[in-house]
Amino acid sequence: MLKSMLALGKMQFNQYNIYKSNFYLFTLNRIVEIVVYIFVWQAIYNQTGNAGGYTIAQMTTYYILVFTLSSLSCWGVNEDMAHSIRNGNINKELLNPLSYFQYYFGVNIGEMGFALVVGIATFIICSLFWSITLPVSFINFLLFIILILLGIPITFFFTMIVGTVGFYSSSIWGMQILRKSIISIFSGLIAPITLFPIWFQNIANILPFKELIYTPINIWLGQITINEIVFIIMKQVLWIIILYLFAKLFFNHAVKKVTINGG
Amino acid sequence: MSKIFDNISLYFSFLKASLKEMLIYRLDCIVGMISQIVTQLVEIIFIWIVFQNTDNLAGWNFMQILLLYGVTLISIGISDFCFDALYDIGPKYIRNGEFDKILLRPINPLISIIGSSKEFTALGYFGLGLFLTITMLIKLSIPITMILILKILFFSIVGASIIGAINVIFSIASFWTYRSNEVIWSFYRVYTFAQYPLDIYNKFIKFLITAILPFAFVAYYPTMNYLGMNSNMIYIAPMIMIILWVIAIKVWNFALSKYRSTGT
Amino acid sequence: MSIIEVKDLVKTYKIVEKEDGIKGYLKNLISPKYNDITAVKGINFNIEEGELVGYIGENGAGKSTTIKMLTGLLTPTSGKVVVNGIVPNEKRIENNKNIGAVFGQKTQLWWDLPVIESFRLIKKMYKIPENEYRKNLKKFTEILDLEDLLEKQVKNLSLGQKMRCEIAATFLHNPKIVYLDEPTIGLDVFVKENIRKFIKDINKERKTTVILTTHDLKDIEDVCDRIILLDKGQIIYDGEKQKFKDTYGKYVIAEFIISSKNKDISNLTDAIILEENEKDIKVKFMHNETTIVKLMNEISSYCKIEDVHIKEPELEDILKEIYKGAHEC
Repeated sequence: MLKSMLALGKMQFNQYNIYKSNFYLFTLNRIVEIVVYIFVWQAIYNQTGNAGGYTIAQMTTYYILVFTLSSLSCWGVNEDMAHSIRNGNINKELLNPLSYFQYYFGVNIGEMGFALVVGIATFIICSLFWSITLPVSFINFLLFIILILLGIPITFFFTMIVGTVGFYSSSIWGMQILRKSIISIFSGLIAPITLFPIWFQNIANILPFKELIYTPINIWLGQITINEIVFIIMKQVLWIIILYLFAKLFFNHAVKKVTINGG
Repeated sequence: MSKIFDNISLYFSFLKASLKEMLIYRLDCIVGMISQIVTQLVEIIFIWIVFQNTDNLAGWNFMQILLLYGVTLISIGISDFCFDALYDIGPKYIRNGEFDKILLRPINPLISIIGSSKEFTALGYFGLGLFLTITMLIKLSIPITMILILKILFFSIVGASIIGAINVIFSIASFWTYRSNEVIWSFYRVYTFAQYPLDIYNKFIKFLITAILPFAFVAYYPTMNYLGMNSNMIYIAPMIMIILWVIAIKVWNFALSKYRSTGT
Repeated sequence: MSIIEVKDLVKTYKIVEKEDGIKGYLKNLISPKYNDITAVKGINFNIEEGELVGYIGENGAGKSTTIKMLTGLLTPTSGKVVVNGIVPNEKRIENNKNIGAVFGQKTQLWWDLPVIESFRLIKKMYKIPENEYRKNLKKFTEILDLEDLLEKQVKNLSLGQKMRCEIAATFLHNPKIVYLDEPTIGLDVFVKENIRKFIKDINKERKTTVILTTHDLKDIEDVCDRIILLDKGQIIYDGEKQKFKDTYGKYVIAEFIISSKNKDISNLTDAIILEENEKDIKVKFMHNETTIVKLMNEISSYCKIEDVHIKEPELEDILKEIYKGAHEC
């Protein structure tokens, strides 16, 4: 099972890779965005001597890491799912020896692999132009990695929930944009969560999205204590279970609809 | 001259057909518009956060930046609406072999393609842009005179047209890769720079968005003018538009002839 | 002057060699390797106004490449193409006004719109005069039976309905030359016949020159007077259809229904056995070498003949023979 999932992942990765331009373009896009954010914060820093409670070097590192990680949480298999529902491939996929979730998790691995390559390339290119603050300790780097790995099932199940909406509505596209917008705001993608109003921070603290980007980066920057991290990891594991159960139940309900009505 | 007139009349026939096509997908259209607005709101939240940390950005205050943002969105709305089909050349037309059909029509293929744009969701951008622009003009107590309205109208169209020409230039990537939509989009994204005052950037970026990909003429210089900041750069915009279109058409035709000699 | 002149036409493609693995990927990124493939190797022909020409050959013989060069979609590597006095790839748009084209199942109609809207746009594009448009529309609607389809959205049409509309759209502006590439692929017999009849009618009435490429040789058999046969980028036959059959199809296939065979025949003078079993035997022989009577005499010494079927070879049989021969060489 794991083998066929990896094979699927490899296929998806290669599909992206066929077109050389993709790699350059995705990286270029990221860098344009990073540059805008960094210059805006630089301007604020020049004006006020403060960049949202961070030093300017930390803020620069923050945004570079944001766009190193952002593809991991913003990409997903939604488009593939919607496409297969529309053209009827879904029936073939339901007949796979792999379960639907396993199948798409395989595809997702490839997607994440490519996101990682783009992310790392972005990081390396940015490190040529700006000096990046290194992780405060090796343990922090390790915890950074652990949180990112925990983020993968969170993103995946969340994606599956959004993708399942495609069984009921043909306007999956709007849902996808909504998904990306939710993640952009609550993950700290556009700005560190601490800069938002308190009520918003309270919501973000409960949701699991902050741990996709904001928290790992702050662990890298040494802004979060080890005690807090233990609590955060427990919270993430709980969310993985909740999202998994919800995704599964929702999907089973949707599939019944397909198998009864014939799609 | 009559040729230009012919082409314009054909363009509108195509547009009418696209309009009818779009009406069939009314729901998708509304959902699309809402999503466009939501993505923009995310960016506006960022601007709001910025002004929680400072009271001005290179001398521009919150409302002035939002005005710049609104003016940009108007032009982007128009250009997305009019030139969206350029994104389809690679992934849709060339990949499926439909491009041959377009080449066999007795009219310029660029007109055929641009005419089949039907990105009505761009009206979401346009609407939000218009709303922001009007609200900010009022809040900044800038008198909305007839001249200002005409100016905004004229320079928004010029701005959209500048974006369009840049998109046409990069759409030639379609002749080499099916994923040309991503190429166009990548260069198009450079406009993000021009949503903030140019003074926050270094020389390289300033040069990039005034001289190479002149997105600064889309909204930045016009907004400076509307705000009464001393800017005569706005009057160069129409000239830039014309130069860009001449280049775009030349480049496009050249790429097309190259494509026809290599084949698929 | 011929309406289509083709002289020493050559087309060579440069193909990037794709390599596997990360190493190959990186190598390709830096210095891609090209292979030259010559799809059309110096062909010559002239087509006169009003001719119905079948342009045939196996997949990859260079048919589509030639058609693309004739329509100006592709620039020739060398050689000359003149269509109606115009070099298509130099004055493409000028040329487009004179031609119509159907490419397999790719439609030129607007997918989401009713058929009639597409026709109106075509009218506008080709600047078809109002009365001519009306006349054509009426006539085509009649022959192709489009009455009920005009108000339907293209995406809701069946394959056959779509193709009928497509054909009408192609002829709407009275093109001088029409290129039809696989116009009947995937269609049922009735639609096929309908379309063939339409092409013949229009050709007769307007002297429209038609170039037809197809894998369904019934199309050619039914519609075309002349055949150009292409193999591996070269023309191996160009001439009248009947003459083609006469030259390459001098043989006859005879099927004998037999009984009480006493021994295997396995060999006949002047004829080739194609199939043999207890109940029947299929042979092929040349007109000038033997006769059916001689064969019957010979076979009856092995068994009792119950019945005989004689079949003139069809275009398809002949082509099969030619291709087979071409591959054996």
